[in-house]
Amino acid sequence: MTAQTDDGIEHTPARSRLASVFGLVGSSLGAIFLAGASVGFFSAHDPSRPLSTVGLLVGAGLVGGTVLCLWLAARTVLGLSRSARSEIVAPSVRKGRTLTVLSGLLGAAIAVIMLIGQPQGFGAPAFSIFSDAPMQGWAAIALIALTCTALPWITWAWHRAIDEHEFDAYREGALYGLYAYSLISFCWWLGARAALLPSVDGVAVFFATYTVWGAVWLWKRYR
Amino acid sequence: MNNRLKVLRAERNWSQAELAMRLDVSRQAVNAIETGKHDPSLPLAFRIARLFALSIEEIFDDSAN
Repeated sequence: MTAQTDDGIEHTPARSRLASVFGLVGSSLGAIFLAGASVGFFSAHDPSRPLSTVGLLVGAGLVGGTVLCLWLAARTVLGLSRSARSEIVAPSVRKGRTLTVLSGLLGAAIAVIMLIGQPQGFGAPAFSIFSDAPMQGWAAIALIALTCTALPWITWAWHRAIDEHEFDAYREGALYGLYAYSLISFCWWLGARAALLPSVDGVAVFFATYTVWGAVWLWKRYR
Repeated sequence: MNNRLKVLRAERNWSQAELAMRLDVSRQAVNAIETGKHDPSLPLAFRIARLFALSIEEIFDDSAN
């Protein structure tokens, strides 16, 4: 379904689909983090003593938030799949989308393994997966194996599926990401040497690079 | 680069999505070409020309450059 406006550009549900994808990522992360927080909250509680009213409210809020996030994620997945089935798309585009969904599932699997692979297990603070906190050996091996096998295969197949417009957007995002990486890492390193900044945080630089890359890629693709 | 893609598409009463499917590209790619935000590669330009049974020069015009 499309609608043509005065600017001559057909506005299909692509932008609303993009918003749905962001919503799906947000609700999935929310569900993972809130589930972890719920387990942490209840396992930290002494079972021989009853929960206070405030404790009950916090616990119910965490569990309720988890259920709400799961419901939102499931509803978004159903809506996206209904919209994808009814839309006319080229076979290569459909393949690219399937691979994007696969990479999203891989990302979710990585997040879950990172969360339960911490010494405290699933009850660890959710945001500690982005820290340098210790990780169990089996989890690190599983993550390295996934990253070295599934990720390159999905990436290779995706690059074979996408069209030249998407590839240009991806390549330009990568170029800006590279410049962002050079600038951030070099300036941070200098600042840290002069004791103006804390030591360089590789994870923070990694996320900053990917944020720039992703932002430019999406802008070039959907502007 | 200027082009007549939108006019040619309208003459055939095709949506951007329909044209995109015929060219095996995304709808965003068709939109970007029509609005001059993306210049197609030579292979894609040939595919477009073949689809409309025209020469590349009859669709694309680089006189503005």
